[in-house]
Amino acid sequence: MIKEITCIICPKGCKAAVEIEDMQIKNISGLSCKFGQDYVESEAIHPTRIFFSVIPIIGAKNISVLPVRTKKPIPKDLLKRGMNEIRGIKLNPPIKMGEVIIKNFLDTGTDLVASRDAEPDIDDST
Amino acid sequence: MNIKHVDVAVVGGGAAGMAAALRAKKAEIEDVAIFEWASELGGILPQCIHPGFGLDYFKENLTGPEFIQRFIEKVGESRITVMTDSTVIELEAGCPNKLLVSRSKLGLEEVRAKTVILTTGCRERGRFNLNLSGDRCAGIFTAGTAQRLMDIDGIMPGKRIVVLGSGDVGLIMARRFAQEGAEVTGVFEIMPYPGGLQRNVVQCLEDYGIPLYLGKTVIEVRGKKRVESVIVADVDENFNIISDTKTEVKCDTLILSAGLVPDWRLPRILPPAKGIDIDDRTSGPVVNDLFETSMPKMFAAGNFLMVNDTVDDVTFQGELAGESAAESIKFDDMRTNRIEWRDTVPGEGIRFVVPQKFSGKSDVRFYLRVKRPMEKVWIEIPEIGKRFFKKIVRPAEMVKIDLRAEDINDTPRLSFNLSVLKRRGKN
Ligand SMILES: Cc1cc2nc3c(=O)[nH]c(=O)nc-3n(C[C@H](O)[C@H](O)[C@H](O)COP(=O)(O)OP(=O)(O)OC[C@H]3O[C@@H](n4cnc5c(N)ncnc54)[C@H](O)[C@@H]3O)c2cc1C
Ligand code: SF4
Repeated sequence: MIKEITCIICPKGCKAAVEIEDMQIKNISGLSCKFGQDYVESEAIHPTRIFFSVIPIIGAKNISVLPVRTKKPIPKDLLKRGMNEIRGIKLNPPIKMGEVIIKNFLDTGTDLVASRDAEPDIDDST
Repeated sequence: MNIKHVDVAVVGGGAAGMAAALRAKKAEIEDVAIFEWASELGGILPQCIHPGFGLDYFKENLTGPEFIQRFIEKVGESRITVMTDSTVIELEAGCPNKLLVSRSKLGLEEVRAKTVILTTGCRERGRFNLNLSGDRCAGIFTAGTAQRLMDIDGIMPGKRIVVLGSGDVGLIMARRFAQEGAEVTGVFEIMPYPGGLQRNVVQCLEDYGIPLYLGKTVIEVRGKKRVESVIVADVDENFNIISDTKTEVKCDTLILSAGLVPDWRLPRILPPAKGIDIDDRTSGPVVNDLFETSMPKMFAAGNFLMVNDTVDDVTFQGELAGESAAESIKFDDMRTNRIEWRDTVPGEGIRFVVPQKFSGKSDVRFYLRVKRPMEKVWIEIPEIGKRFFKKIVRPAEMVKIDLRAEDINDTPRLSFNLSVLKRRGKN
């Protein structure tokens, strides 16, 4: 199988053609330097991304949804499951940035955490 | 009317504004105040929930809200006056500068400030800047508005999406829509190359299998109440529509991501005779290497100065403006008034250079944008006989050139020119 991967390490954005057999890299062509090599190798076999999204939060100041992220990147093919995993959750303030929302997210060993503080909305007109 | 006196008035509480205020405070300026139109500090970043921020400044991969909360916390700990829900509606340059601030429930307030730092950010070009014809129906959003709706207010703007323009915000929103299960039909870009950063093309479009159509644009919107479809067409090299390529694309939402321009809605209110000089190339103010505008004691930084790719650059610019403002208070006009400012010139292949003026007395970082993508080029500065090699340059990626004072001390001007690397043996 040939996988096309664009290197994003530098602005040049070389397009690599990676030949893969049984989860092993046989050959990489199209890169201009060795920095791209490492990135493309891991991207070809086990690509990862930081998962991020928002979760509804009730009664918070300034926001109706709370931004969340995984602390570390998780396998790319889990991103969709991640969206399903958080569906239906509702949060309440106060929440602190970095607070764990879901521990060991999708058994990846990394936690889903809050990306910002959320304070309760106190109506100052009363 | 209540009159308030401050040393430094920062207009706009985004990354640039907070960085400027913190730096001025660090230089031991007594009264530093930030005026922010919104109800919280942060500017655009609280709605940029994706990672990719702070790689340069914090050497960490943060989301927008995480990056900006670090600054909000620092501002909270320093003795900076923060006025949210406070819009600066009028600005009159002078000694001191006068600002008229509208403070929602509290009414109008006049502020006299020794120095002013303008960090009002940028705004998105809308439908009417794009000459987009057709029906006036609901369902057309700028990318930033859609982002705010989804990631602050929790409202999904639509289900079948067409994105016009491949600026970073548009690419990022294409991904957000796809994540949330919307169908993103495609991103249409009139230029022959993408407008956003390469990493966004990969991580936002390629990751989600969203097609990017280059050399194509949306020419018409159709729909009775809500958008029902758009007409797309190819353009030739002069950007004329090729009529027989017109196709209808069904969608309920059109997202506009066709460029950002510095937000002048505020300073335009200045009396014209006393206005700030504008650089037509950046659409921002002309500044010297202290980031001081043509009005003494009035500084600028961040996206208001020029549209930046990364918040890291915005932050560095804010810090420089804050430091300069502090210095101009401490040493009064000693530095700025007695300097003969010299010009920088965007030469061959270069769209703009910031700062537009330099003194030759200090080290300067120059920010450049090129006109079109090119490989293997030199950026040459003939006046000082220096040149810098770049493997590739793209309009989407700011080029930064650092020059030392000793190198630019004697030259009356600096011009920056792109030249293609010539093969040995030829010419
Ligand atoms: C969608 C999107 C995605 C991005 N992605 C990335 C990324 O992945 N990585 C990265 O490094 N950078 C990214 N950037 C760029 C970066 O976020 C911005 O360059 C930076 O945040 C701009 O900061 P600023 O302070 O100049 O402007 P802003 O953040 O826009 O702040 C300007 C502030 O001024 C206020 N204001 C305006 N007029 C007035 C007035 N008259 N009175 C009072 N207040 C006023 C506004 O309310 C606003 O709060 C992205 C930007 C956007 C829009
Ligand atoms: S392979 Fe090297 S030159 Fe090519 S994009 Fe990657 S880092 Fe840049």
